[in-house]
Amino acid sequence: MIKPKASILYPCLFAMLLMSAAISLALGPVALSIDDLGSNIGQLRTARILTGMIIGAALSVAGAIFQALLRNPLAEPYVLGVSSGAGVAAATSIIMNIAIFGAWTLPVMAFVGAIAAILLVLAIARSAGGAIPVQTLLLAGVVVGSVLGSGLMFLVNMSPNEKLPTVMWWLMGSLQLFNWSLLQVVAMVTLVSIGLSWFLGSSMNILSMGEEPAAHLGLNVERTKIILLALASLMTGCAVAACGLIGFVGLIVPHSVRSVLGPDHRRLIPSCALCGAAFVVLADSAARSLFVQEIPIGAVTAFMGGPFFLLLLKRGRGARP
Amino acid sequence: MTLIKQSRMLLLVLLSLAAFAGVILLKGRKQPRAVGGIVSLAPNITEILFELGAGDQITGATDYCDYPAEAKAIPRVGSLGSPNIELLLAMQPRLVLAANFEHKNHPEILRGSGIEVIELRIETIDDVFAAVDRLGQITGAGGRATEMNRKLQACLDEAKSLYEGTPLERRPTVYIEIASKPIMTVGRRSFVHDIIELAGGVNVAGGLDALYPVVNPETVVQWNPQVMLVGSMTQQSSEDLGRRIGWGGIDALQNGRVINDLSPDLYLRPGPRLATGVLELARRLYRPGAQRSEN
Repeated sequence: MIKPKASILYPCLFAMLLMSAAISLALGPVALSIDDLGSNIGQLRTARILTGMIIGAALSVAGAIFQALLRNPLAEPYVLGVSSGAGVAAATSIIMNIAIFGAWTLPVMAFVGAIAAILLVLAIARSAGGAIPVQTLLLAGVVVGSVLGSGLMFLVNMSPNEKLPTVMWWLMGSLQLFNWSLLQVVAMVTLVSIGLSWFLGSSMNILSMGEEPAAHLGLNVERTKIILLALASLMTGCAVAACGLIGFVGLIVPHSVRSVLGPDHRRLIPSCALCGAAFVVLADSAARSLFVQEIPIGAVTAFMGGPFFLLLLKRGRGARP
Repeated sequence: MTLIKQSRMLLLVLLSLAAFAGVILLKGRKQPRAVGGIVSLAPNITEILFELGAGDQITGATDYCDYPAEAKAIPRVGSLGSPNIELLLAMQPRLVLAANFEHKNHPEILRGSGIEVIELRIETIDDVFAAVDRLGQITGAGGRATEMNRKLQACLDEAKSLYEGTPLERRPTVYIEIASKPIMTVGRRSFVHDIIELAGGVNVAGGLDALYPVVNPETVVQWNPQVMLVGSMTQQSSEDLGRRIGWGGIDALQNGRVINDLSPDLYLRPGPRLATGVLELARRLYRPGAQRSEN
């Protein structure tokens, strides 16, 4: 575990992010130099890099929050059924040709599905007194996720041949956006949520000691939990709405960062945001440039991140949340 | 929970189960149409059969068989290449015509119970001509088949007359968008590539040795096609496509040359309507004034 000063740590991480952006800008089906930034292809690639940064940051920070909140090392952004909820809504809108919001239909439907799934899980887990026991929350999330997941399998099975590529594309995730305004909305929600969760870093530190000690230390446990849940769900919902399901980022980035920098959430949250952003941008450059046909980014994140994470585990540095 | 509530709940569960069972039993009683007909397991085969005047011999079709309108009334026996085998056996048709079978043991099962199975690979425009002849023989409509092939050839010849004088390098470059999420186009291994060429266009993705490659939108910007062909279901105009990030400068969108009024069935389904598709596409490529898709 290393503990660099903040004045060294953040510039380093930021430089790492810039370097990955530069690599990503240079790689792709069309060769591009820094002068071409304003060209049409430059715009496309910039949009894609920005999307990667935002989604990577959102998923990583959401993962860190869920791991602190649920005190479970397996927690990740989709643990409360978000993925299946969004998936069912998205697949339904693709298969049934729903187009109520024009180009915004798919993101809006996915977002609504994600948030609906979380609200359902919360409603089930909430006990009579209004408290939300963590174990019940986790179990309710997993079960609601499986039930919705079977619904999703049904929909995939029922989808006509010509719709199948679109449904699968969504399920495997892609950073390809066609719409600046969608990117702006997602960026705004993510940045505000990351800022707020950074602000709540010390509360998360207290919370991860356990709820009872946290209450003794004067923390309003239930309120903090609700706020953190809302922030993490909002970020996950936005990420899923814009780019479909990109797995693994929210699980391994927080763990990797924690194993190197330690469990203090006040630096874990911003570091996760920067590392997650860099990781997804790099993974996407690989997805985009390895073959003429694009590979789904979800496959790349798992393939690149998995071995790296296992290495950290093997070295015995896998610090628990 | 009180006892009354519990017993009510139980009653409700039992009632809904009974209703479910009833529906299943009643549905199963539906008798299949006359024994001894033809079952078509592909929409293009169904189309050819109807064109040959053998539509009334079809006793079963797939969910995709939607043309001509009468085809929609034929009882469904499953999806493209994956029929419900029990249903087929119960029907006892004389002949099953398929483009392919998803489950490789299906043909054997059918043949084992005395049903003739013919697999017709229809993947190019030449295959369409051959399939028309073959189906003409099978249904005893050889004369009509010859006539039909003559008409198809006439369509192709008319299309050719539109661009014959234009040298290859001056023919318009065409980009086909089969799906937008992800962006999917047509490589040179697909018959759709041949359709574009038969219509006098140059496929911008012709260099890709693939069937239906998923490409990055940057690649489309680089190709800079002069004409874009998008499915009529999406109704995307050149304004819609031009709003995509970075796409505004593409030649076809600058000049408003987006073809969005052709049914994809005309060029994506390897059936008898391909010839019409070729001709319509050629008209839009070479007489943009007369057949302008927009404005």
